[in-house]
Amino acid sequence: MEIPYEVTPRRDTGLFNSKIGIWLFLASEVMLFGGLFSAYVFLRVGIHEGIDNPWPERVQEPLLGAVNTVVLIASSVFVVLAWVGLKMRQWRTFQIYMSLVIGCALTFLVIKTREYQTKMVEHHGINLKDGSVIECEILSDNAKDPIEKRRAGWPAGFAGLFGHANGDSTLKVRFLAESVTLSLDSASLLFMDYAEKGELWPAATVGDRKIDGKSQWEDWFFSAKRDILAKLSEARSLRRDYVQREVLGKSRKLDEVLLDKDLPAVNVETKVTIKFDKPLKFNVPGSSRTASHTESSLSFVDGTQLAGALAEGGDMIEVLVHGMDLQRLPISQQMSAKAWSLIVDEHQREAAKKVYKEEQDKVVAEIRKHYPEGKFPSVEEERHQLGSRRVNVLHIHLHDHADGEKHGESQEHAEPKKETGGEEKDPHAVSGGHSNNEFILARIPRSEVLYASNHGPWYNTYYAIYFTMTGLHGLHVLGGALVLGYMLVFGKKLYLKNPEHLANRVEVGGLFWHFVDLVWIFLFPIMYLM
Amino acid sequence: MSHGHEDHSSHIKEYWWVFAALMFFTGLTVAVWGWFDFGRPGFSAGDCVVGLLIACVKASLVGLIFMHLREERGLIYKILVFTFYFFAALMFLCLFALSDPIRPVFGLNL
Amino acid sequence: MSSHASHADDHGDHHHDPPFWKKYVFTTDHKVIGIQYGIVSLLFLAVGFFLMMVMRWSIAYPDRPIPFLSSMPWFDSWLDNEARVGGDLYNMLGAMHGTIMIFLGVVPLAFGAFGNYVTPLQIGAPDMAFPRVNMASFWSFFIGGVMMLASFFMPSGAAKAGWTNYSPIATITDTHFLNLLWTGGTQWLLAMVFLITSSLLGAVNFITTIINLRCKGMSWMRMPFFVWAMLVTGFLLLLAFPPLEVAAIMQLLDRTTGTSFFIPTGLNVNGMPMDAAGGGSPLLYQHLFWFLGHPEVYVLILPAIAIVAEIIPNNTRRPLWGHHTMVYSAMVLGFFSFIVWAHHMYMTGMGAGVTTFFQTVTVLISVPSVILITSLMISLWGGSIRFNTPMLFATAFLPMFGIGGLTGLPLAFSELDLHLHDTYYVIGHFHYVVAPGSLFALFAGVYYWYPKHTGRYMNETLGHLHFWPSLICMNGIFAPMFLQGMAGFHRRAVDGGAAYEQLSHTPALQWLGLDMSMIDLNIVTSASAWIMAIAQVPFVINFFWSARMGKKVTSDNPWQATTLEWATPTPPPHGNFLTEPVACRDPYEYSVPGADTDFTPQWQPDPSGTPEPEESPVHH
Repeated sequence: MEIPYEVTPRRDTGLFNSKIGIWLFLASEVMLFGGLFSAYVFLRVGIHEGIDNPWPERVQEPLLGAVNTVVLIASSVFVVLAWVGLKMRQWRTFQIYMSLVIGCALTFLVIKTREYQTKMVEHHGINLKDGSVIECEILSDNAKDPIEKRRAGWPAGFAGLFGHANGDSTLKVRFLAESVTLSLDSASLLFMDYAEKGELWPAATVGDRKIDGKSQWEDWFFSAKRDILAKLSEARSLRRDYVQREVLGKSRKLDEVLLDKDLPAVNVETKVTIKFDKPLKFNVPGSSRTASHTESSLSFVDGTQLAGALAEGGDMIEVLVHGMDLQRLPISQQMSAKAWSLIVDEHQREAAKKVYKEEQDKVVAEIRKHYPEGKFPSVEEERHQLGSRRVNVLHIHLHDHADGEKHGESQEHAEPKKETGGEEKDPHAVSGGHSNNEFILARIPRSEVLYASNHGPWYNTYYAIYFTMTGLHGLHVLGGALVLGYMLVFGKKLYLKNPEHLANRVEVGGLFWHFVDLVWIFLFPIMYLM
Repeated sequence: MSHGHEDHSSHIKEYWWVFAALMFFTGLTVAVWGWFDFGRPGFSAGDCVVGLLIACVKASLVGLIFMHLREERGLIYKILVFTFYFFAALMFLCLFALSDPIRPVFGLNL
Repeated sequence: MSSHASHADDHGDHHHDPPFWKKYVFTTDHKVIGIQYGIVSLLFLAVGFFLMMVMRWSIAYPDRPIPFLSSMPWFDSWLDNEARVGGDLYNMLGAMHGTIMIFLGVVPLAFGAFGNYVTPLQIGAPDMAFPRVNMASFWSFFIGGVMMLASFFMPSGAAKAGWTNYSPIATITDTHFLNLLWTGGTQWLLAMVFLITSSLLGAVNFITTIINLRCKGMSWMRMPFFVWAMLVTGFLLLLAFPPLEVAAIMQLLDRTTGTSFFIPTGLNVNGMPMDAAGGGSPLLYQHLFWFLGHPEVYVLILPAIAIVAEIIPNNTRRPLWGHHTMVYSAMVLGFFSFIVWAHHMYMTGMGAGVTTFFQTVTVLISVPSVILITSLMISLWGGSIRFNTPMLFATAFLPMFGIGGLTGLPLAFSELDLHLHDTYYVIGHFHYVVAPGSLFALFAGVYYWYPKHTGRYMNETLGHLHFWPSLICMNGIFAPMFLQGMAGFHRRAVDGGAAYEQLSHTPALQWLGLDMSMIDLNIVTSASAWIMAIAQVPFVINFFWSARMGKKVTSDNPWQATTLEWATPTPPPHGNFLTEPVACRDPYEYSVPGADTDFTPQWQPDPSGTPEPEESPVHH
């Protein structure tokens, strides 16, 4: 027996198999995105004022989102027209409209990629311990002139995805090591990996043996590791045999057995210290997930320890400031935030503060409107009654004109549009009165930093859910485009054999495509506008 | 499924009208966004309600016309009703749980 | 029917056999896929059982070196210096026991194996609606399973954060390993994505098949209860799994890229502030997990009830009591199962309003469950019961599942749950549901449908040797857990609760006439578990021996059953039926007054009535 109803609908249900299948699949997709929408609401509503990062509102450029909406809706029309073409047995019409669909899909993905790229590469945020946030671009380590330090390496969070960053961003800790202590029994060896990545195989002394270059290092390392593991294993099995003999064989209590004098001990020295002939420079992600450091030591999470000293300014993060986000501070404390003092040039600092003050005054005036004459909310009220989000949304964007960054392209405006507008027209932007003012350099000691990264998904929960939802949606667009593209390219054969079958397939593929469009219709307002 | 060719060509016009309507609503969303923002820094419930209402209208258009739900068989509706029920459970019960934690919430005075 | 067997060769267009790998490995035939699922999941059940036996040693004898395993390569590196089971290993075993038993053992066996094999046969379909999707579903499951197993051999070992994999503990375990991709926690999440995908593909396929591929005359209410259960299970899998997929993806991002979906602000790890933005919510993970987790319970139990519902009428020779009522109950159960999940989360400190809501619906959901089990009980009434091996397991299922269900009632109430939640009581409760409950039903299914595929019965003596020790041991394992749980034994202690040693000679035990302390019950439980392993040996022997040497069946319908799967040749060929089957009557027409035999198969034309044509869809 053949499987029935593959092309023709069944009489009582009125449906062919794959149509039921796709609707069921879409039902599960609804639940998939439903889980994410639910997570969005949960994360957003669940923010504790004054403790968690505020939900960044309207930080996206709505224009790009709107363009993508138009593109997707258009593709939705095209796919349904392509299907009509097939139904009317017009292969040419089908071809044209389906090509348009694929074109729309690619446009959508290109725009999306551009949006991701801006966030990941060009925008960083450094949260300081006092609650102020410096919006900036982190510079790389090796350029001589700070102004030339244009491109930071991709920072720690992204590095986690691919192993390790290869750029030398100043976000990394720079350390001059004189010796390293390896724990040879531990399962992972971060150090060897760093050595591998950075080609760090310096001349060194271990015990009385000299090693230099990769092959000698590896010879030594693997043989030493093997020896120690063998010793460990031997010691352990001696001890286990003894315990087993006594406890299982002679039914003694383990507590007693452990006090036996001739109980073999397992104390194999597994740590080995290697001295470098010359101090060796390491760039290590400053994340405590990888390593922690003091002035004279750096310990990886797997137990490997470097001894030596921090390079000069080795835990100083150098950034070009884009803006200040002080919304977590009460208005009265904003002008004395730590972040201001980290701007290197005094003139620039004063100019920036001046711009900020002007904006602040506008907001204060706005607040006063809501309060009886003469009364101003206390710090407590300001935060908890008004909600810090509603009042303290001062985020001055100090434009980085020389960077060529047009305002329209910039993704990162934590302030409401109105203020942005005011600021845009403001001729007294920080760049106003100084000659060497395009770049506002700030040096931030790591000890002041609470959390620093680019505006990737790790930056806060908003970016996390934004990247996850749009990313998953993007994968759906890609998948849908591949399936529809397959029908476009290889569909002719089936069309000649059984055009209705191909029409069914396109209808089913189209249903998926409309669903993808439908998800975006909801994503656009909640991600870009709200 | 069983429509004749004329039937389909008459649909084409309808599809373009729906496209126009969707464009209009997209524009409206952006416009409303700008309007609501006027004089009101930050997020407001109005934004949320209006934005989602418009999105719902758009979604219904796509569903009913493009996905042919208008003329679909009852079985599909049944599946969708199930799904909607479970979707609602997922959305609202989570929120319900969130809105009702045992007080006091930690660290409010931080 | 038996006369059909001789026609098997000249039917259809499959004259030449496909090559071996196409016929048995990358097959699209639902029966072969069902058997693939069956064998793989039985193997996983064995693995899961092994992990549990190791755990039970550490619980019963925390201060004795473990025998046999201390010299086993790879495994020995996980033991401590005195060859005992350490905390890390214990956590790993516990997490993987749960994961393997549920996601790789019981569900694939119930839904994947029996569902795949039996459903299309019972509705008279030639195959599943999407055979290639079916194959993809199996292989996706297989890859997920292999990843789970492979994670044991990674330097970090397998996942250690419990089968629920709660954040933030699951996010931060083993993060000191160099490459996070190759750690147990990450592999667990990736494997879950594969397993979930497999379930989704399976669910789409099952539902479509049941809706669209029913044979002529197979109206909705003529479908056997088994098919109905598969339909409801399919919907549960289809709609409950995606939120867990989302949770897995988010946790994967938390773990590998440093996002903060489930990481709250100010989390300290190893005495240091965690390098994460914070602002996330661990509770969100629990919601998403249990949104799947609770329907999953019904995924475990509904197919089991359904198998029992097939076997009981067949062996009492009476119709299934309340077939329609059971169908409606299963549907109601399905609906309610989606809104009770937070009763797993009373301990998280939800507010009074939420708790009240979830208590209410949790108590309500016991109504359809009780209807199901009561219908099965009443089905036994007044029958002249044939106690063959499948029936033994099926009858044992009823009280065992009953105990599991009834001990769940106290847990529905938050005040009691707060006391019992993290104790062995809960372990006892849900294991009564899934171990002597689901597993017994699944064993019954293996014994029952075995002749359909092999043409031979499984051996009755070995069957009894399997059943009786298993029944006794199951109770030996899980009954003491109730006592220990009510005495407060924490369920995650690696040493079996040494802190409870003073709880000796408690009234409960004295009342039972036992002069022992609560902690000694650990040994009773563990010993039962190990004996139970031996009790499975007859089953394994039986399974292989009977395929070659078992008693041959004399007809295609050896149990004299009524449902359509017995109308096929033995074994059913590719395409299943030789002629297009027609369902002429209800599925359980046993001992119809006036009939020639005590069973009237569904395919036997009804002389009085006209066979109904295809029906319009039923109204729910």
